[in-house]
Amino acid sequence: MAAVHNFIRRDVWKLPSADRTLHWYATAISAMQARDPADPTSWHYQASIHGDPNSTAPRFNQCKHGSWNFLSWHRLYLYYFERIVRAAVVDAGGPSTWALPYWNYEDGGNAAKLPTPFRQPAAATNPLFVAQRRATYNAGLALLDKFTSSKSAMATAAFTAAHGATSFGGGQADDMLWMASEPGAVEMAPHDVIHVRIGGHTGWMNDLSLAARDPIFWLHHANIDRLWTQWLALGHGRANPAGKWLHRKFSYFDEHGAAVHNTAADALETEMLHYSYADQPAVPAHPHAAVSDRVPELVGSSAAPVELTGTAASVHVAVDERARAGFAAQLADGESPRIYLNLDDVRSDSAPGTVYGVYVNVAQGAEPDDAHYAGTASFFGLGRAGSRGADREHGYRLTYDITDLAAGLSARGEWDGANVHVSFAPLDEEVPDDVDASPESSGHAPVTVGRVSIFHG
Amino acid sequence: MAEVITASRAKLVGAVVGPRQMFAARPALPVEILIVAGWIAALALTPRSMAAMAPSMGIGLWVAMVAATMLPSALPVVYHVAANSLRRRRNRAVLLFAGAYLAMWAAFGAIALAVLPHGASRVVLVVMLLAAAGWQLTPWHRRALRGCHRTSPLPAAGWRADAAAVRFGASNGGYCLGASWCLMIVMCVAPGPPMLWATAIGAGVFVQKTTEAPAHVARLGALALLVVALFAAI
Repeated sequence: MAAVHNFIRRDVWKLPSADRTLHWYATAISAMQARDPADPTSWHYQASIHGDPNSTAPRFNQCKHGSWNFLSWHRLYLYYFERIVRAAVVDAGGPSTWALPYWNYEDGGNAAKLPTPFRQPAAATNPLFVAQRRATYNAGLALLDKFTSSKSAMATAAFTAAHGATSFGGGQADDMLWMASEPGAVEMAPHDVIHVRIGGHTGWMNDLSLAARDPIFWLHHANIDRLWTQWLALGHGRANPAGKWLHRKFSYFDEHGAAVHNTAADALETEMLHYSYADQPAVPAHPHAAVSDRVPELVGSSAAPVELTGTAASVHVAVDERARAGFAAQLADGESPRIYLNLDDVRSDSAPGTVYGVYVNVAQGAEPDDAHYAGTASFFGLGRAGSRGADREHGYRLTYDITDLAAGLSARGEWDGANVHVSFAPLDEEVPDDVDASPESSGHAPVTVGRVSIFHG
Repeated sequence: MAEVITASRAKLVGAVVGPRQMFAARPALPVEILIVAGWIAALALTPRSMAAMAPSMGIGLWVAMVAATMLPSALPVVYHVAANSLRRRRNRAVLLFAGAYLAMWAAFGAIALAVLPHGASRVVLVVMLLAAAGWQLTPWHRRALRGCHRTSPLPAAGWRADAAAVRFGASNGGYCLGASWCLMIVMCVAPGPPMLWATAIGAGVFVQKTTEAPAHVARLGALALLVVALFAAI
């Protein structure tokens, strides 16, 4: 990697005290907010490219979620946004090397709090502050570890996968062509979870069509983009997909307001777009991975839907006897089939601000704990799933790889393979005394999980 | 991983593929067979013009034509049903889905054939072509088309699995009907071989259901119908 990087994206919590990166970001936001909303380089227009609640203009509501286009679309979206901000920084007399910082909330401690300049001063005169966030985070509350963790995403080796299996980048649900919407592990967590937590029940970050108006959106997405580079560097078969994924065309605007068109093939490495992250590891040469033709099989499901209304809920999944015998035979053959938990046909009319912990085989009456924890369930953008952009309506599916969890449960005699008890419990932080805000208590928009299912594959 | 891929590929392209393997590799095969059967039956039953037929004969041909030309656009949904069913229940699930889908169309066809005037009338044809063109541009058409992409929970086992497949087939058939009922009426009152019309209409509906720009395609469809209406009027 001898290439010279022109622009370095740095950790916002590790910027030196005299650093002016956020000062210039705030200056540029003010300048962009003062532009005509019809100007593609204005703050309003840029946010509307992601989503706009009031307009169906063809350039708006372009964001890609719930599929393998999520990472590539957002990488290019950030790249052009960063160019527009940089041009505004230079216009205001700032450095021509300005680059977007990232928010690595997973670092814990203070890093799990909203960066201070985004919440102080909490006034309209501060372009980095918006009141439309969960009040506790604007008051300096640190995010729970479970909300910031990228562990499950990093552990997922396949970029994309078939129905029912986990993937890092998302399912191949290309707009109208497929029935379901299948976010990848990195989109589910930490991406969706951070959106839902920071936005809360009514804030911008938890609304697909308003999220990009919050200046923290861009630092959050820089972190998700950074996780993509970290994931590739882990190796062991991790690679971007070949084929159709490379050639999906996306449209944006550059700093001159001119329309530009790119595909994922233009954004495979950050170096191709002349930037890198301060902590970027060297990525070993990796060929594109052929999309696996391994298709997991449904082996059991709940008999009825589950309603999530902000309180604990649970459901029983019966695994088919014959399917279980097939699984045992695969194990005996020396294969290593995986076990996937799926939440299928998830629906909601609005965006719930609640993030749930998903647990497997918690004993009756017992408190859910980490030994039974499968992951988080959050529903960013769900209320808009059928109403915006590409004119589609579909089921939403969240997938968890519970193979290792099942092995642990099995070792303790808590897994028989035939009966899987899945429970949901809302996750929330304890609000310490020094945080001057009370947690949101109402407005849990109900979510219907049409089916909870188990796939083997 | 690589070994697994190779192993499953070997299963799919094994030297001798028996019927069991064929059904496993093609999860929608029962419905694909139904589509082919629809074509054969429709061609066998086709008179010179459908409008000249007695309603009792017409309904058989109607269902055959729907199976031949409308069912292909529902194949992505059939794959979804197959992928979300237990392997041992897969054929049953996709056939229940397709049966309910066709039943919705049959019910509509029975009414349409009963009330439509017998014998091709140019006025009726032109009116229906204009109505079909207008329908393409309504929010109801958009909503129905979007509904064609709606999923429905499919419990894995027991009577609930059967009921869910039927319910999904009926709702999907209903949305499909909402998106293209006008076009099928056009086919009933149009002169010439109905299968020619049915094929053109089926192809148009297939494109509308699978395109990424449905609004744009609907506008093009409306324009095409308008042109045909002009020709028919002259």
